Amino acid sequence: MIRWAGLALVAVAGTAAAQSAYFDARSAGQVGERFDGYLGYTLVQPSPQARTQTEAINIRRRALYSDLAQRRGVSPQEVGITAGCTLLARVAVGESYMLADGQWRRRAAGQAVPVPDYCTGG
Amino acid sequence: MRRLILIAVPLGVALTGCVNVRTPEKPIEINLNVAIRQEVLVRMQRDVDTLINQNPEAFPQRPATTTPGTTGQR
Repeated sequence: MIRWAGLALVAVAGTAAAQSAYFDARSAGQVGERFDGYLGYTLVQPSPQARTQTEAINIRRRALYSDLAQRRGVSPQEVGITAGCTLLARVAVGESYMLADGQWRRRAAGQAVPVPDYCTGG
Repeated sequence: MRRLILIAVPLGVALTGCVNVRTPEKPIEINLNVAIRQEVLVRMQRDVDTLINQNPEAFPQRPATTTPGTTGQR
């Protein structure tokens, strides 16, 4: 029982540590949210560690989108775009994001969250 | 007779197609060859938000160290 609790603690701490390079790259504007619900790299490439962590996140997202899409009878792309609306709303100042025009931008101080029109239309 | 079947088969396919397909909602064309149906966007939003909240390993948020205020504003 105690060992299980210990393992759970290690797992939680491990998750946070396993994503720290991703967090750093995101704050540096090297990794950002895309309109399609996935993370992408801007022109400045992040460290290999950050890339590994980012790709692991995208793999998880793809599985989750596909699963939900199948349960609801929509396409995984549509789930991703819907998720993108929420994820773009989380983009913090200084972080990068990509809208459907394919351009990377960085959210400036005082700038509103970059949520596309089609999101708020719903 | 054979010609009649040749005509009848595609007609039948076309008819069942008409019956099964409900009037499709025109998708919203966004760039990069991606489109989404408005109906789907609205219907899926709550499910997707639940998905995001319940899977922090796929949608990680850095533990708040500074004062928040950078998210949730529109």
